[in-house]
Amino acid sequence: MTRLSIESLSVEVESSGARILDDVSLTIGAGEIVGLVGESGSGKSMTSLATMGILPRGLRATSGRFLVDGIDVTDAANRSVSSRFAMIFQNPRDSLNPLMRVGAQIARMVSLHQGLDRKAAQAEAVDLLGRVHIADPAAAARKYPHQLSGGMCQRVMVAMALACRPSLLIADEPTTALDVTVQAQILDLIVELVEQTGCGVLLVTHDLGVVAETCDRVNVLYRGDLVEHGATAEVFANPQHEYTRYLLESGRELEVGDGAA
Amino acid sequence: MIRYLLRRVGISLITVAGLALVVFLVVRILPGDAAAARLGPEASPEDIEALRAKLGLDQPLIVQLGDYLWGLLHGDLGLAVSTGRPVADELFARLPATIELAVAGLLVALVIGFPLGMLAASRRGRASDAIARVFAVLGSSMAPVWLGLLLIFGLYSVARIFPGPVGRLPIGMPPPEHITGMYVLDGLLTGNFAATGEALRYLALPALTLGLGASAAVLKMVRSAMIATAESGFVRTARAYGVPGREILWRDQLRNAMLQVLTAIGLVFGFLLGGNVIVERLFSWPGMGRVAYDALGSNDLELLQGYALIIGVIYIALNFAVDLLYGVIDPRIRLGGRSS
Amino acid sequence: MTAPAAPMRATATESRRPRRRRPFLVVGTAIIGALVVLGAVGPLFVADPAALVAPGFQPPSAEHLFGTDSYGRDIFARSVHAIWIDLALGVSVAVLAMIVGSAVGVLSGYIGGRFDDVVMRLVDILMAFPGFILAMILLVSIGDSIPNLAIALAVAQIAPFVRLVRAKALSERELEYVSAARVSGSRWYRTAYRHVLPNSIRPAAVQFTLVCGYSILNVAGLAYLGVGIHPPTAEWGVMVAEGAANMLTGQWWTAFFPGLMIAITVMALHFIGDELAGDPR
Repeated sequence: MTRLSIESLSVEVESSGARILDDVSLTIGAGEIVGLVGESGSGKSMTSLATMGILPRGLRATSGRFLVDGIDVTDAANRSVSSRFAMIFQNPRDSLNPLMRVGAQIARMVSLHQGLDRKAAQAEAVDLLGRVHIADPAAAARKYPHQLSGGMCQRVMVAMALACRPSLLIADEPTTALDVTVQAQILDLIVELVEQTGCGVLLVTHDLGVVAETCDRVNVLYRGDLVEHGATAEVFANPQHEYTRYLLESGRELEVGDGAA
Repeated sequence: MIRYLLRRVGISLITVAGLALVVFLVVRILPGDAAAARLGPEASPEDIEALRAKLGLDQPLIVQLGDYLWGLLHGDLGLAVSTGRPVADELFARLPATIELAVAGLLVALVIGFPLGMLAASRRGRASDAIARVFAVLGSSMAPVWLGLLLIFGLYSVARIFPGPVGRLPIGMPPPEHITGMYVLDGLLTGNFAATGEALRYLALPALTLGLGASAAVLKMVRSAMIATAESGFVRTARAYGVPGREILWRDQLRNAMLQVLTAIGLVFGFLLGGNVIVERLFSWPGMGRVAYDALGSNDLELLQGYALIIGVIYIALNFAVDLLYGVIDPRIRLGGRSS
Repeated sequence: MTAPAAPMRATATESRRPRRRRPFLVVGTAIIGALVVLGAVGPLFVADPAALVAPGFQPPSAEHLFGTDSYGRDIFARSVHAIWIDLALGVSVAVLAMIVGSAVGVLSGYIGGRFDDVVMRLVDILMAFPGFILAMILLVSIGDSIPNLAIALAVAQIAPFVRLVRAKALSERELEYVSAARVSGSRWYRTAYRHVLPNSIRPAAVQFTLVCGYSILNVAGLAYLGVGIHPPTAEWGVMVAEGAANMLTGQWWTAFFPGLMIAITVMALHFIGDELAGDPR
């Protein structure tokens, strides 16, 4: 089953009409992790924000249809609630309200999306923290974001995503701000969740290493255009577009550089 | 939290000490002989010498400073030459009137500035935002005297809504029994509601004068804080997860914005204290600013020095209180850094 | 007590901000420009500020645009003569505060250590004081005169300049350790001149316009308290102070128009400052 399909999404700057995204289409199946790669400025974050219906001020989607589980959710107004989207971001600590305990923040999403009462939602929140492998979930639930490490905060974000029982998880550079060892843990966690829940994942990243490790298929975005897509192994082995080749080469150079250092 | 508290207390005390020193130096060390200035151009050299001796101005500076600081520790701000009474008595007797006016001004500033700031932030870039911005600029562009005169002319001379600028109560009306010295409060505490009502009516115009100017600053501050939180990651998260807009506004945005606005309130209060000499003169308000005005007229430097010191201390104390409140509200300060 | 708000962070790395039109900047600059011109050529065409041209308390009319005051002096003529006095005072206070504040800020940022600590404590103390009251007490203790008025007002506004320039100097010094400038023997004052100064210009310009405005307001406030500029000088604040008593007896125009001139001037300065500061926050 197709979890998400985006059909010819275009986004432009409201005042100047400059194109940010041009006719981007992609699909994600159940249990599938699909990568969206490109350099900063290529429009990959805008794709995810437009899909969530939360484009920043001054930007506007001029065309595009979104289907989740085959249902048209193009109308942004009730998109997130009705169709079980969830999203995790690059800076996990900034993505959490600094004045609320993390348990309460998860519980809030639980009651919003599962309709549980306060107490049940709180219990479910602790349960979810356990499912993302946080050691003492009851204690962690009482913490404020600033008391947790970046990796822990990202786990909290994943738990929050689970609270929505999502059909689709959008992960926008979920590991970029984290230490290398923590990165691998978070990616493992995402893979594990996909296996458990059968949701689809749109993984937005600039890191081809992350794509190679986790993604079933990959889409390459270059200046707002989708220039290449296909199964990860195929694209990596036999890139068709010049830009993809460039990305792969610079990625390899980076890896060599890392190794030397 | 305790470390934070101690640090704040320390900083406040250092600032107060520095303030006392600066005030002392400003008055004593700068050119211009205080005694000569006070006695006027016709005074004979002997008279000036006599006054200098009486004021201790003939002592070495360090001795003067020692005397001054020693006096301060005992609550002794020196003698007001123009009236012959202790400076502390002159000023503290008038403190309640000034506080009552400043607090009322702050309330006016908040009541006007807060909702307008929120409105401007939510309509950012649209017409109502521009209007709010123009209002803010206007508010901070009017000389307080002039604004007060306009209000008096419009709301007293023409419309007769509020009483004229004759002080805190109608002429001849006895003040309520003294508890705090703030008439509105004292009237309530003693059940003298007539006095409270009149005190409020007489408070209205001076408070509006002070508050309108300050509301501009509040508006700007609220607007920028609300915009900053609207662009923050946690609001984006809440929006992405479909939290209703109203809940995002109250629970996420406003509470976080309040932290920034709180700091601003200390600044705004300073602005209110700064304006009070003018407003108290304009409305014949018998507060500390009025004393300072009279001291200006009679060149009473001791009294002015005491006034400046008390204003500074109030301002520092208020900012200290704001810092404390900050510590209570913000878990990042209350609980300190990472514990895991 | 906080420094001015940090510049806006873009929410998303990929958002590009379009160029905005700036009506406020245009309006503000136009008003100030018009005032400068009117202040320069106006006095040639209007009556002498001290001349008694009509009976006292004439309401505004075609002949006397702003009416006449209690002595029968033309308020419009006096307001026009006052333009340059007020603008000059505002500008000189701002220039003074900026020069001294920037110098102290650069030194404090470069010398660092104890010196920097002492300067910053002093700045905190100055800022723990409403500027108006600081200026008032300073003016009285150094003696009531117009140069001293400018000095007193400037001292009260030095602190923000110190903070602003010091912050730039500090960040520049950080950069310098990684760059070759230090190695190649460049002197600190050269770096200050080449790097710190250009980087500070924009925020300093914002502060400059604000200080100009505050100073004009504070001159008026002090005049009302009977210090600073005194009658019969044709100065807006003095005219408001002189006209204050007439407000209750119905001759509103005597204080209204000079006060309006102040409000318009300061508003124009604020418009310019706000726009220079970027997104007004």
